[in-house]
Amino acid sequence: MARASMRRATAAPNPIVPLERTAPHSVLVAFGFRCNLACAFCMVEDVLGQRPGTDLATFQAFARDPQHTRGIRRIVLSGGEATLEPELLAYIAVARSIPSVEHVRIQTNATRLGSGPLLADLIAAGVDEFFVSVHGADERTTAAITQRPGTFAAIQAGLAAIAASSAQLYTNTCTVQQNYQQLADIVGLIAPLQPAGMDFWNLWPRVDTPVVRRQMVPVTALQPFLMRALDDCQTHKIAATVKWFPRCLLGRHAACQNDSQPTTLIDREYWEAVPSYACLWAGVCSHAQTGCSGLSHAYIETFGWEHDKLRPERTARVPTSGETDSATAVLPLDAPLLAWADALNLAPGAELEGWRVANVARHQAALRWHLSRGQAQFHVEVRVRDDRLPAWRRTDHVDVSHGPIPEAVRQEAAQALPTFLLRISLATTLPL
Amino acid sequence: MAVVTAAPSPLPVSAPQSKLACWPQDRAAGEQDAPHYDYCLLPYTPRATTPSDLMSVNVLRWSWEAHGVLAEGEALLQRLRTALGPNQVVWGIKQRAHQPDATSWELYFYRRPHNPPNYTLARIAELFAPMSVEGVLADHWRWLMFSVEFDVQQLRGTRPCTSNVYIESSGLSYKLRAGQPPDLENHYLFRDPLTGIDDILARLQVSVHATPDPLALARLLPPQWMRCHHVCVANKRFADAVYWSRVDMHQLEFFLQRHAWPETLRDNIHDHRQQFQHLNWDIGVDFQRAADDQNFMFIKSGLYGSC
Repeated sequence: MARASMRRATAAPNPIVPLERTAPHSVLVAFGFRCNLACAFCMVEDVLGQRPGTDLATFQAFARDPQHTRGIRRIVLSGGEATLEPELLAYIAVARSIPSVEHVRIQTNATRLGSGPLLADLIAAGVDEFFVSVHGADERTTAAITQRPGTFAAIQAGLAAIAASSAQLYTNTCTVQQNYQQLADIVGLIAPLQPAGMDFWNLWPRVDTPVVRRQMVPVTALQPFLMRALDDCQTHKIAATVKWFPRCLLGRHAACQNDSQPTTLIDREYWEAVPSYACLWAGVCSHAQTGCSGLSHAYIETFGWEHDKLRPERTARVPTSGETDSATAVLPLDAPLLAWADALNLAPGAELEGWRVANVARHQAALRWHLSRGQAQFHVEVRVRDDRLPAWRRTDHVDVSHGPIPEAVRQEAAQALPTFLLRISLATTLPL
Repeated sequence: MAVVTAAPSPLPVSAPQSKLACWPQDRAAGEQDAPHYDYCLLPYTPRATTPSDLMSVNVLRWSWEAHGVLAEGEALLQRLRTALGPNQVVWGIKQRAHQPDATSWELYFYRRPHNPPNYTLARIAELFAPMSVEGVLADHWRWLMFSVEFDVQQLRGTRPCTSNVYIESSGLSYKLRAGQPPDLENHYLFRDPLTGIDDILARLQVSVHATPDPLALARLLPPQWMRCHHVCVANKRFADAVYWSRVDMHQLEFFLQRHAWPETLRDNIHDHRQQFQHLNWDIGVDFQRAADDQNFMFIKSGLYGSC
């Protein structure tokens, strides 16, 4: 398992434009969907051998466009098993050609890095971070998960080689039935290698099959083992990250929980199977409003909502129907976006028929304006025109939609929207 | 503000990909701001607007057509829309579980401050003629909504229809039958699924038809529908129910599949999904404790729209 993933997205017209801008500084490039392991819970199992991923020419086109690459500090190369890709060195070169990039990371199972020149070649080409999937603390567990005997030793050799190199080592363990009781043992195994970070990703059921559902662990069963592993990380001063596990069950380690993902370049079809997440307490829990995804639908259908086991942080301000979807991260405003919006008289503070622009931000593959009038709010979303997608209105270059409008201010909003439309119609491109 | 045309085209347009015809004229050409209403007859902002939009009433007509009562249903609809004006009727299609032919329909009429003085229960009931409606009340009742439920035979006028009256600010509804006192039928609770989740859970946890196992709640509140405007929990005489308002097309299709709605209707909706993308839909299920007391079953599901 060497792939991450992200939230549901909609199609965009240009394949080299990431479908979502989920992170301002990291871009993940998924290519070469082949693997030498066969993990039962693989997040990209359905595309292995089926899809090419982001080809080199597409990545080059992306990298050449400063609009796309502005602010990117890290490129993450991923597959499949990225080291199986013959053009990997070329991808690294493209990543390093982006002026703002500080780090090039490879997501890998490390089985090919323990011997031979590959590791040194990758580092020489510009890779300075390796994010290694560690499945178990012993051969039996690792072989059971990867369905390849002997994998444990190969991974250990790769880890040791990386640790001995100039590159930074990060690890990731996907928590499943076979390994969840070994998490502290895995920390014990990795800690001597002084990793820069260890991730623990609760199973993300992108490929939702009965086999995958059987791998899921009830959160209350997983919790004590996860907490012990996080305690041990703390003891060893290893930065730990937990994904897709309810933050409210992490207690003193709640700050480790972070479901965010890099902005991703990947085949559009990949997004069609992205799993949805939910929590019954999402409306009353502050964790949900700051990025905790809750539980996957597959999990809820298997184990229930766990509503009596979750511990909502009831300090959340009650959202109103006109407010932003709080479970979706909105990136902060940046200077180029501010200048662009200002030129259209749509920057924060601009007036529209009694409404005020409270904020403008990148949101998935769109720009989202938050308009406020007293306590009332709603948002307007603008994306590159795509006639295949529904839209409230279209200009020559962009599609415009808006979110729910509080009933009490519908008439007032109806006055502001034409003005917004008039101003946005001057836009020929979007600073996405 | 633009309005929906009062009368549909007499000649439905054949859609090449569909098994049933559709009526695009229900939305007047160019009237992109025509109002949209949910099953509480409250207006909402459409999800998107494109020139080829279809209105939800097409689904009602497809259902009638599939049961061979399109002419009767259409005549009723025209009488109501001519007399009451557009956007005054909420429709519901009720599907009995595991019985594709056991379909019934219900039309709902809301009392609003802007209604004319002659907007009375008796007059609404008269508009159903030649169908007959049982047990209409006098209007001094503080009624919020009135509904008439009918099946194929009742739509053809061979049997009288029963009606229901919903009382203002109470969440209570009563069944009305000829010669009998009003019979308590339902008690409704509407809540925002985000901020009102405690109330929703409290009501479901005391339902005598729900079971206490952890998966029961996931079956009663599937995560796929919790992104909606309101969840309504209803306690009924012989079952309890959950409703979700303003779900999108994707959620609707999941609902139709999960509750095994007739394939023809499902396929037709799917074939026209792009033209329905602008709509919100309202859906609901009735559930009843099984005879073995260990489980519950879904006995009925409903889909709602307005016209």
